[in-house]
Amino acid sequence: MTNFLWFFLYYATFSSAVLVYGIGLKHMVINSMSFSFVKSHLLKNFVVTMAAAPLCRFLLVWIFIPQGLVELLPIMVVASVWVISFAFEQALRKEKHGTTGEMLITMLCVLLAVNESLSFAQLFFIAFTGWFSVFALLAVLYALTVRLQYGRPVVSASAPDPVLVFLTLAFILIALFGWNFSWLNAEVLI
Amino acid sequence: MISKNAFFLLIAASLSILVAIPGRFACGLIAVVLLQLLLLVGLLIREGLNRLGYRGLSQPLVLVVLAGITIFYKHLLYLLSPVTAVTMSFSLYIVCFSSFVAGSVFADTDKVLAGQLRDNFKSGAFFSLFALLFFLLRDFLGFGTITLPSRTGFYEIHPIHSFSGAFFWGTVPGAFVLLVVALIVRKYVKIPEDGE
Repeated sequence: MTNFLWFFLYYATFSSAVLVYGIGLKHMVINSMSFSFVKSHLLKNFVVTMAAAPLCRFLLVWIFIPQGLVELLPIMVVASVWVISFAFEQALRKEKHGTTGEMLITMLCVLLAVNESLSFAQLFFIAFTGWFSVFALLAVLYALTVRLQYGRPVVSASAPDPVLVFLTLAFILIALFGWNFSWLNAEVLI
Repeated sequence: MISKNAFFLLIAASLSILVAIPGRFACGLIAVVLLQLLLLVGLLIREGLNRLGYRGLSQPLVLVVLAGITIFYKHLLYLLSPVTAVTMSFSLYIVCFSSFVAGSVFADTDKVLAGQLRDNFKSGAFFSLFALLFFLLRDFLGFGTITLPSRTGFYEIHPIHSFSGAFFWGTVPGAFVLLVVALIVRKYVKIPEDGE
């Protein structure tokens, strides 16, 4: 249990899939003004990730590793995510197809999970935490943009200054990386 | 020169490349070369598939080709500079699946191929120059060096011998702070924009 708590903390905060691996960073900054991105895409992309990750690991362990084709993993991830995403849209009779951007986040989450897991349990956990960090940060940024709007002399519907959003992201990161004091004392690295 | 709004969108689309890749100039150089390769080949493959009538399948097929190019590039890197290849490893796929590449390759436009290539070259060249300068700054401020890829790891140049840098600028938060500085500079520096 402690092991999985450590995994969760590692991929959600210390080494966040969004802030450190850069997965979905653009969506975070662009979509931080509303929650429509969460409502319309949360379920589908989450289900696709949780279905594609074990499929990829299964294919990797049972076919690709014995055949010495491990390096083809990214191609397998692209194909699996696309096929499952397409099947999901057909099953739900969704008329609006997902954008390439969302699919890229899903692919990177699956790739990260398959690449860094040693068991199926870890695989599910990393895939889940990848999406969790995406939506957790979206909620933080949404709260932040609303708060920044209140702080303006005249409340306006336009987005707050991107410089402030970036600066706040930098402060969040400095807080999350507080455990890493190596940059305060560079000599310890020598 | 691109507008302030376009500059912000470009930074947002390329955040994963600028932030997630290790803060050494050698890594930035390798990422920029890969990015240019992906932009060129991705656009040509997409246009070819559209002309053959496979418009509906162009998205997954182009992504498969882009992933294939990245795998090939990574293996080439293993031969030429193994340490850099191991250091970058997952970062190369972040370049491949970045919003900047997807936004440029899958842009919804009515322009002919030459026009699209011109647009991609323009934004790609601007971003490449910006990214190289950004990684140069991170490398120099963070480690006091300018690194180049070599067979045995990084070839280090020390522009100022007594300066060893502050490691903070080589980290992810440091990259964000540098991006904020770039956005502030672009906000307050008056540069003639297109059409002005």
